[in-house]
Amino acid sequence: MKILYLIIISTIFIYSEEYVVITNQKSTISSLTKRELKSIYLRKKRYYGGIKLIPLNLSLEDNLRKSFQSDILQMNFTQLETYWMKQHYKGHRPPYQVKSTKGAILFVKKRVGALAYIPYRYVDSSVKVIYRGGKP
Amino acid sequence: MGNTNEKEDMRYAITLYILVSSLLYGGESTYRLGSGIQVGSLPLYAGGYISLAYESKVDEVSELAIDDMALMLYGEEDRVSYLVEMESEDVYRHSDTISTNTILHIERLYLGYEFDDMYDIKIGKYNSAIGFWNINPINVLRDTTSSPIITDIIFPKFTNGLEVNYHSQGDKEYQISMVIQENRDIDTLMHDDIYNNFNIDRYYGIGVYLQDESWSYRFNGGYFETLDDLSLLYMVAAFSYSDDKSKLLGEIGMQFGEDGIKIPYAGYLQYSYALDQKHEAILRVESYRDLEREKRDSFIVAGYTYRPMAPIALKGEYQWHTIERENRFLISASILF
Repeated sequence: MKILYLIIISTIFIYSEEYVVITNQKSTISSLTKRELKSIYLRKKRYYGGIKLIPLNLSLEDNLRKSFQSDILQMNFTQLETYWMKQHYKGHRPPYQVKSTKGAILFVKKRVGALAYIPYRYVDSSVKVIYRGGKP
Repeated sequence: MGNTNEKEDMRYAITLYILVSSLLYGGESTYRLGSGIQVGSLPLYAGGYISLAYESKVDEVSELAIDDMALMLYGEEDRVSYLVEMESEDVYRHSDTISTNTILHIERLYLGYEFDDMYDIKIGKYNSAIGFWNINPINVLRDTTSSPIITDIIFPKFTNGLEVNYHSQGDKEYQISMVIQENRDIDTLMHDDIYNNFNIDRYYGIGVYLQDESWSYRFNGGYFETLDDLSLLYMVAAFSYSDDKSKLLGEIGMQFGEDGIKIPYAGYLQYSYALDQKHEAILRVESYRDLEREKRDSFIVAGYTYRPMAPIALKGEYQWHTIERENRFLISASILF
C-alpha cells in the first residue's frame, strides 16, 4: 500500500513539474505563445523567420510529454491519435520523437529550427528558453 | 484480354511486394497501427487502409465486399513533399456471384512545395478540398460506412492539376485555395475508364476555409467541363462545430448547367456523440433533388461506431429513405495501417 501511495505522489509530482520549451541559441525565436506552440506541435505552423521548425517529442509514455500535451495541445490521447491518423492519410508526420531529455537537448543544440520541451532543471546556457510552462 | 489481366496481376503483385518490403525494411524500431512506417532511413513512409463492408438492401441480394484497399507511400524533404496512393476497389465481392478485382488505380499522386507558412502549392492528383467529408473520404476516417450523397453528385472528388494555397497568420485561422485543371484524370494514363470521379478535362475551383476555436466553415465554388461536353458550376457551403463529446456537421451544395439548375440542393446535417473514447453514435439527415436524373430523396442515417483502437473502426448503420427501396443496412470493418 505504501508503494502505491509513493507511486501516486511521485506521479503527481512529475506531472506538476515545471517545464520549459527550448530552441537553438542561433534561432531568431525569442518567445512563443501557447497558441503558437500548439500550432507548431500540430505541424500547422512549420516555419519561423524562413527556417523550418523541427518540434521534438519525448516517448509516448513519458509523463512530461503527457503533461505538455494536456497543457499546450489541450487534446486527449484519442483526439490526438485521430488527428495524426488524418494527417498520416494526408501525408504528414507527427513531430520527431527522441528517446530522452538529454537526446532532445543534443538535437536542439545541433539544429537551428529544433524545439523541445524539457524539465526546467535541465536548462543551461547552451540553449534558449522560449516558453515556460507547468507549475513552478 | 488475358494479357491485360496478367499485366494487372503483375502490377498488383509489384505494389504488394513494395509495401511488404517497406514494412520489413522498416526504419523505426516501434510501429504503431495507423501511423505508417518509415522505409529504411529514407524520408519515405508506407501505409494504407482496408475496408470490408456488408450491405443489405430491400429486394436485393446482400453483398459482402472488400470494397477498398489502398497502399500509400509519402514523405517530405525540406520544403518538398510527395505522395502516391494506389487503390483497388471491390477486391472481393460476394453477392449472388463472387467476383474479384486486382486492377490498381492511381488514387492520389502529387508533389507539394511550401514557400513558407503562408504559401504552398501542390501539383498532381489529390482529393478536392471541398466541404469536410471529401477531405477524409476513406472508411476508417469517416463517421459512417456510407458517405453523404453530396460527395458523389455535386463536385469532382479529385483534382488533377495545380493547387495554390494561402494560409493566414493571424489569430483567426483562414485559408484560401485555388485549383486549376486542364487535363484528364491522371489515372486514365493507366486505364481508359474513369475511376471514382467525374470524367472531366477542365476544372477551376476556389475555396475559403475559416477556423475559430470550436467552429469551422468551408465555402467552395467551381466550374468544370466533362468529356461529354457538359459545362457545370457548383457551390458548396459547410460548417462544423465540435466539443469534447459532440460534433455537428453540415454541408449544402448545388449544381448548375448551361441551361439552368441541375441539382437545386444536396446536403446533410449530422450530429455525432462520443459515448466514451471508443463508442460513438451518429444521426444524419440527408436530402437532395437531382433534376437531370429526375430523382429526389430524403433520408435518415442512424449509425454506431466502435473503435477498439483509433485506427480500427467497426461500424453499423441503417438508412430510412423516402424512396423505400433505397432503405439499407450497412456494417463495415476498416483499418488504417
